[in-house]
Amino acid sequence: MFGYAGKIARIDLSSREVSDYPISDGDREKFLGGKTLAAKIIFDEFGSKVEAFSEENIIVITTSPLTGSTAPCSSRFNISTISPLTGLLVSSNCGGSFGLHLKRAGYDGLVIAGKSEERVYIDIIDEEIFIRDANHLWGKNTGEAQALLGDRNRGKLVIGIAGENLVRYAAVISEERAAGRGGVGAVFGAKNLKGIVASGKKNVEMFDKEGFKRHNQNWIKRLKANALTGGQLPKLGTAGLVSMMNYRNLLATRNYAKGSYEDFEKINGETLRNEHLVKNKGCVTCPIQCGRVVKAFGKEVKGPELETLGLLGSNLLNDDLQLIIDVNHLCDEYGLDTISFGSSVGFAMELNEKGLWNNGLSFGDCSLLPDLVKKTAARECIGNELAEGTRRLSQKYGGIEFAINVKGMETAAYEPRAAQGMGLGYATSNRGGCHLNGGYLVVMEGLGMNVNGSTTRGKAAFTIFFQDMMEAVSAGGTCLFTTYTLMPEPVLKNPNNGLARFVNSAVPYFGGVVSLLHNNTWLLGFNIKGLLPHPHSIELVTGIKMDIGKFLKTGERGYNLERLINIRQGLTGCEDKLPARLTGDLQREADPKSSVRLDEMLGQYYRLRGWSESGVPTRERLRKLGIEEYGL
Amino acid sequence: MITVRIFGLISVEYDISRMYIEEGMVSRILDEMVRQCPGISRGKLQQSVMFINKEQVNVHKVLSRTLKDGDELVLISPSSGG
Repeated sequence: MFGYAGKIARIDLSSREVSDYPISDGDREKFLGGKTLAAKIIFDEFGSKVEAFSEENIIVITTSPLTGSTAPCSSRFNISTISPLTGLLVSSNCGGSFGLHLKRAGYDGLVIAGKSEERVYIDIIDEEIFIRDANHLWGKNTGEAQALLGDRNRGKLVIGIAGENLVRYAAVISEERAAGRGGVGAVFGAKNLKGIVASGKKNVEMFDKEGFKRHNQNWIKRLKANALTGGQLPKLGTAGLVSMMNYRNLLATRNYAKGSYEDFEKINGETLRNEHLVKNKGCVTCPIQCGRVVKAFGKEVKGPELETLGLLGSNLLNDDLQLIIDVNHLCDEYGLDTISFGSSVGFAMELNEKGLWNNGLSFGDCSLLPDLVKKTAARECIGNELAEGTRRLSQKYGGIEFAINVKGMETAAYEPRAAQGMGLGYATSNRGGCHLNGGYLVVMEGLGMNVNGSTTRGKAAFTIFFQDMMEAVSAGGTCLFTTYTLMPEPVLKNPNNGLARFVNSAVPYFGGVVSLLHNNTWLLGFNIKGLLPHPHSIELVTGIKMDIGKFLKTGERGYNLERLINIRQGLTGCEDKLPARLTGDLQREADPKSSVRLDEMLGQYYRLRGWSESGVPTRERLRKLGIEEYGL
Repeated sequence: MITVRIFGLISVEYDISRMYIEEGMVSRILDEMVRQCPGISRGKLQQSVMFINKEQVNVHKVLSRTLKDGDELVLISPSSGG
């Protein structure tokens, strides 16, 4: 099929056997690629519940039809596995160039099974796969390990010391980019797999090369002209959100006790730009260039993203931006997810403050952070406890009501008590407390658009719509920032004009319309290339007939399939919840609506999804999505 | 004095982050900002998300509101993406 390298390799580390994993064109049309195709493989591979660190667990690395196609922001790849943090499916997406190189090496994906007795890495050159000794790489940080793997022009991904030591939120690092969430790096470590290198000369054929080129030019033009992707993101990076989040009470502060931080100005995007920025940069084929290059320990490194500024900054009452930059770099080097690490430290600080765990950590006193990174990665002393994440810490020391995780995964830097839809998204996200997999409704609730974050009206419908759309975008292979063309420019650029005020106030009342479209995607059997360029791109690359409706249905199919895997892993609807601090405590005493009113949204969310009252996808829904054979 | 704080793209593009302006109506404060910052327009300022003493306000509804000594006016360009 056009747009695909055509093969997925199954690599058994126990037996060292390599074989072709069977994937049909029908599978590609149904699941596209990325996390959605990975979910299909994981569902098919496991007959029942699998433990994250067991030999039975598999790692599925997938690219997508747009990966390496020259579509804007299309150098993404995905890693899916059973998470040691949540015990559920985790899909972690990463930029850089590895996906592009893997496809050139002749593979759309890799299914890595078993467990190697020796420490190894996988080397892929022009379709040939070698399992090589990695003793010389073991114990090395991610930068050094990648350097030792040689040629700069090859795609590489490695784990750091954290992954080797099975830290439950260990990341996989590729160049400077991270597949950060859910502990995918620890599963590599459990399999004695240090990393993967890939390169090759294969050219992937396109269905309509000329049409694709024209479509891309227009798409890139729109991204460059957009106020966010052409203005804020290149100039301020994701860090540019800190100030707005602070004033909207969305900035996780003091282990989520508050939504704003008195010293936010010391850690915001403007200060990062004025005092630390060397230059901005981006992934291959990215016209946005949101990455920051800053200096840590005397060398130029990747700067912190918004999430890191929140979790290692305001959430710890840490106003030292250079320290955040340094710790961010150390987390990348040791292979730690900055969100889960920062949240675990914040939780430990509050446990200490409340006398539940005498660990010596205090809010505002963050000089120990670099040492904590090293100890956590090595699982030494207090680090061995922090390496377990907030849920397990709360099971040991108490404080479950302020252990800020969902299903075991620490939430991102968006404090949801000022954004009800984001709260619902966190609670229902397939991978746990993730803003992106949760639908990222906060972009409507104050970060982009200006829809009332306090109302629950319409939020269930919009959450579902965005969860499914982002699933589809991810499966297609582009960065989620490419979806900002969806937001109407006049509303975005001038939030005070009459049209913007009308749209923002009317949006919650359109939940019914959104639901209607969600349940009848045939009504969206067309493309609006300027609004959502992705389906047409996929069609031009693959030849698969794709429109907005079919695209959204692919996303919904993936979301439901992931849910089914989680249910098989033991998930029940009871776990679609938030920590008591976020649902029970008011963020601001003066505002009686400043807690997440999940009970007003969750039942409706299940109904609109076509799930049972206990949150299980019904046979009827699965039939509608063409995946009835996956029913449990 | 009124403290005016400016964030986001508008802060980067016009190289302004903080101003101190004498008390008065919001409309007059915006005019004074235009006077002090060459290149910036009133229209551009009114496209920002505005907060007065940490409460979000609609700029068109507060133009005639008088700010007093110690009040804080915040302007932030629309922003997203994290």
